[in-house]
Amino acid sequence: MGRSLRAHLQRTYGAMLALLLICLSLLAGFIAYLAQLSSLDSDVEKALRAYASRAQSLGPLATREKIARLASTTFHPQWTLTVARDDVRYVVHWQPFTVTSEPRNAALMIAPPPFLQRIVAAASTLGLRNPAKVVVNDSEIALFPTGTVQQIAVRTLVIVGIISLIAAFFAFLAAGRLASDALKPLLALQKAFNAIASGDLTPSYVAESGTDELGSLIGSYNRATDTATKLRLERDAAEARTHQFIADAGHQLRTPLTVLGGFIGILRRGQLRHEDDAPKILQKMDTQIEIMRKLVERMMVLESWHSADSPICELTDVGEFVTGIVDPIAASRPEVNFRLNIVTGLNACIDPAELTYAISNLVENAIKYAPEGIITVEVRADGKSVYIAIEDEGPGISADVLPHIFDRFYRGTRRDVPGSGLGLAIAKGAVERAHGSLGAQSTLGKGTRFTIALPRFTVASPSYVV
Amino acid sequence: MGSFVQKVLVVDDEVDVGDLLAYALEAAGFEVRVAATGSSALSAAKRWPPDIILLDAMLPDTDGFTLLPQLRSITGCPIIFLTACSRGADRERGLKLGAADYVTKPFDMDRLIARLHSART
Repeated sequence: MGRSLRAHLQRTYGAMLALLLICLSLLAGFIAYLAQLSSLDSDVEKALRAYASRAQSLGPLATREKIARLASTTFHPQWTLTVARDDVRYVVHWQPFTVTSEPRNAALMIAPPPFLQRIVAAASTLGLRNPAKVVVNDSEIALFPTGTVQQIAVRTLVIVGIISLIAAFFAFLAAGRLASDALKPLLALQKAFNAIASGDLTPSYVAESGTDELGSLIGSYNRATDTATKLRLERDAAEARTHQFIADAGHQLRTPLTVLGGFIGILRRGQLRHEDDAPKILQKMDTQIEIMRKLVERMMVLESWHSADSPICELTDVGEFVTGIVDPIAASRPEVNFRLNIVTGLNACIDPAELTYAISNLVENAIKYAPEGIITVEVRADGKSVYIAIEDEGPGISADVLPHIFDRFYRGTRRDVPGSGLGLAIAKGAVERAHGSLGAQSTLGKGTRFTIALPRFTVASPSYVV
Repeated sequence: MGSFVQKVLVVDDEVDVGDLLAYALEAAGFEVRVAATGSSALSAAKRWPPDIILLDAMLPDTDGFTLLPQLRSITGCPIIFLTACSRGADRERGLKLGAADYVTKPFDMDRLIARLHSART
């Protein structure tokens, strides 16, 4: 298709260019022809005057001999001389040299032309003036430079023809170049499409050639491939996340399955070393089942976030909300020291179920990792945000571990504490779905402080929308 | 030809996995020590030279691939990877480092015990 379109363009451009150059060549030829005729006119005039001055001395030019005596040495052999007197006209022919007479009113037959010469003769009449005439001793002498005019016409036509041929040749060469240039963007586009067709899904950018239809097409291609690339990268990233998630989840399930399978084998084979080992083993199996249950439950939460709509937005007094979560936990764990420093009357727009999960997870983590110190829960606010802080007096988290604690399936260094590695990831996700943020600060040996910041809803910000 | 395996050093940070291995292997007649970190594994290998080591790949303070050469500098006993890392690349890496075997969790305890019984120091 590219080749035939190129040939078509070359023919079109070539014909147009050739036509233009031929027209220019014809115009230039015609101007040159007129200039030569003008020069010829002056030569004819001069020759006729010279003849007239010599004829003056001969008296009336009434005989062929007189006319011939003068004319044979005076004029260009291709010119035609006529002498008209009374009713007779003498015509001087040069090849062979004769002088004929005919009635003065007869049509003058200077050079009866063959077919091709007719064309030349027709061209010769362009710009031809009236023949030069002079009256000497009652005789009208006229001089027709017909042959020379025809020579000039032929020469001009030949030159114009040659120039036109050369111009047409170069016009088609230039047209080929123009066609190639015009098709360059299209060929680049074709190459880009071929690359995609051959499976290269990282399409190259095609330079836009201008604002014409082709440029617009390339622009559309670039925008389409940009969008396709962006969507593909997003899809690849999502797929990679899914693969990683499945791999991580599988990895996390291997340990409980190992423990359960191993202990079931011991029980089945009756390999208990002591009778009272059974309850301990069952307790361990129960712990592993609980780990798997939580893991599956949390995976379902994450999956539901991917497939569900936005979380609900309920205007909530954050202080009362946090108290409602912490109080039952504190009541169920009387051995843990809680310090509540909660301001009420601070409102935020939250999904209660998701925020309940996030806050209870942080509180339970504090109990899990630092059961002996004081666990402080604070709710306060500034002009923009409501802050919920959960602080423990545990061993703290080292600086190299801290950046990873919100990663999915990250377990840190405390493997003696059971966990799925998903709790903090879900807590952070829940807070972010409420347009808030969750961060952690920790000092080794002193404790860790998790802070949730939620956009504060005030009367001054009634247009608050989530 | 060495003697049969008697002393097994388990290097695994998951407490319940360590307990399971200790319980099952002791029931099968082996002496077992469990180390939960790389550093404790190195000191255990020095103080109590094992006949064989069961090594987890992921540990809190290091990883099994880094730890294996360090253990190898202490003891020439066979080292078997016992890990949840099931990728082929990990397996290849472990065997290239000189591990006697690469067993992935969850594993068949009977087969592991049989493997230990047939192993020679």
